[in-house]
Amino acid sequence: MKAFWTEGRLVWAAIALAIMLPIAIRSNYLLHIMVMTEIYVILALSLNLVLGYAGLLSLAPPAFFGIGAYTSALLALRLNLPFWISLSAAGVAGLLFAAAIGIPSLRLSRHSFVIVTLSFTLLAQLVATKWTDLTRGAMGLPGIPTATFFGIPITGKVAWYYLVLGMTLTSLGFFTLLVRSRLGRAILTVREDEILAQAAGIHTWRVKLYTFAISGLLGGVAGSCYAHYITFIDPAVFDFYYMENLLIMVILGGAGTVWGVVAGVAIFNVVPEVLRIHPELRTFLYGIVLLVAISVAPGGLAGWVRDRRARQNRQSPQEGSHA
Amino acid sequence: MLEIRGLTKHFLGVPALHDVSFTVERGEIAGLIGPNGSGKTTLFDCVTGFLAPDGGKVFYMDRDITSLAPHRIARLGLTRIFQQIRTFPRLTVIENMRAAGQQHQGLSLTGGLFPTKRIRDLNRALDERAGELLEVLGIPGVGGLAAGTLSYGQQKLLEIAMALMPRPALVLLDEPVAGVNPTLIESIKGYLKRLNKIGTTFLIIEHNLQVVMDLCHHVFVMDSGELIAHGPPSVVQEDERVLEAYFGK
Repeated sequence: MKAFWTEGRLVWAAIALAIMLPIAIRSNYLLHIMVMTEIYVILALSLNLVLGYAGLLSLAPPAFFGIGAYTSALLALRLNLPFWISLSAAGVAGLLFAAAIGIPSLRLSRHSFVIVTLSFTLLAQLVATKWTDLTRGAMGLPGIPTATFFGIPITGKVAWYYLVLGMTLTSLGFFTLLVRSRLGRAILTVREDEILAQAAGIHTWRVKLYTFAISGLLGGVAGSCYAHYITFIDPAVFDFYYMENLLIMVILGGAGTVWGVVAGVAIFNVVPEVLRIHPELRTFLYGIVLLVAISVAPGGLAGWVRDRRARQNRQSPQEGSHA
Repeated sequence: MLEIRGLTKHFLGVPALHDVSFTVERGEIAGLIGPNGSGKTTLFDCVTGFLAPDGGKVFYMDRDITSLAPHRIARLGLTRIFQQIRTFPRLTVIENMRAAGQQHQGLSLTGGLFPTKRIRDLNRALDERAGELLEVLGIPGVGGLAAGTLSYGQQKLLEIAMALMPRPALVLLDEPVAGVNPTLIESIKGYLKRLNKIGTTFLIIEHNLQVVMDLCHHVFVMDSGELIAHGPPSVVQEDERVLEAYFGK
């Protein structure tokens, strides 16, 4: 029997479900969680591209997120630029910072690269805290104007939900095209065997640089959405807490897959809220869940499903051919 | 085709290559033999840009390639396989083959984000070439398997197929038949001979001397980082210094 839920059908069903969700959810609080989940998906893609596809651990996504948030907020507050321009500028800022960090650090060993990205995130937070003339330091930037869509201001959680949903789906579409393209294939060869990739004529350093820059772009876009949605930012946007959450979501969802990471983000944003677990206890539980998951399903949710399918196919070889 | 002039390489002061010079002519199959640790693989690494030599020059088609990066050398049509097996283990065999061929289609990395007709045609060309090579090398029907799940011999064959994927002009093979069964060795030999007839030049490191004698027009012998003899296989076989290097006095 051919499986009814093929990957394509699952994706369309998930999109339809996402579009209809606000009809069922009336609670403003739950809607807020949904919007944050969408923003997290974009940020998770930023980490997933580098970690899951290129096999490099980058601790810089919160830095790009924060740089995007501050760029967007400052352009909107100081220069009164419209949302779409500050959003684009935030993406470009993320991309340029990533390129600037990537050019020297991607020549180093993989381990040194991790340390450079960590230092960059800490440095970015320090600058946001100390450069008070520009950022008002720990007082933060209040009153960031909300987004507009063709001149209409976005007010209310439902409108925000759909605006960010549009951006998240666009990011997911772009991401899918990217990982299936020739560049995507080259990115995977860097993860698998960099020496062999070079022997195959692939300019691996450039591939890594592009990967990291795109990661910066996605992080910047996510930060901009966050700034205009919450309307207030302070140096806490660079907090390492976000990095821990991101790592858990991406690894548990299945680094190196698209839908696995989306599922990981959704589960880890929604389940703790619904179960109303105390925030202090949450971090503790995350740690336990992460440890258990790594020992039971090292490939994350997506890896577990893939292995299970492979086992089923082996048990019934006559059905295995349609895969 | 390939000219090596005074190539020298030291590792922490220990000479791995000392003033090695030789020339591989266009259209021949050249063999590089010598005891373990005589510098053969180091020489391959210096030629393909993975190691920077301490002295000497490498010319490929009359072009100085001594300081070029590995990917640039590969794109000039000089490919190699490694002594230790290297594949992209978690990618399927067909994805391995596509990756091995894609940089030689004259398209930039960022070209082809959208699957346009041109891109689909280029991908189809890669797939056809990949299918052909896998068939000839005796591993058809494994295209959908992850490369890391293949047996040692099959991975070795995949590596050869990947090196041949971009239709190279010169291929450096580091122990191509180590761990491959005798029947398959015959078919690989046959295929290399056929490729050679239509213009591909080979330089082969191989410990299986029977294969070297059957295939090679010219053999270079190394010992302790130096070239100690060269000539047609039948002559080299009788050379005293060669016998001494292999068997002692």
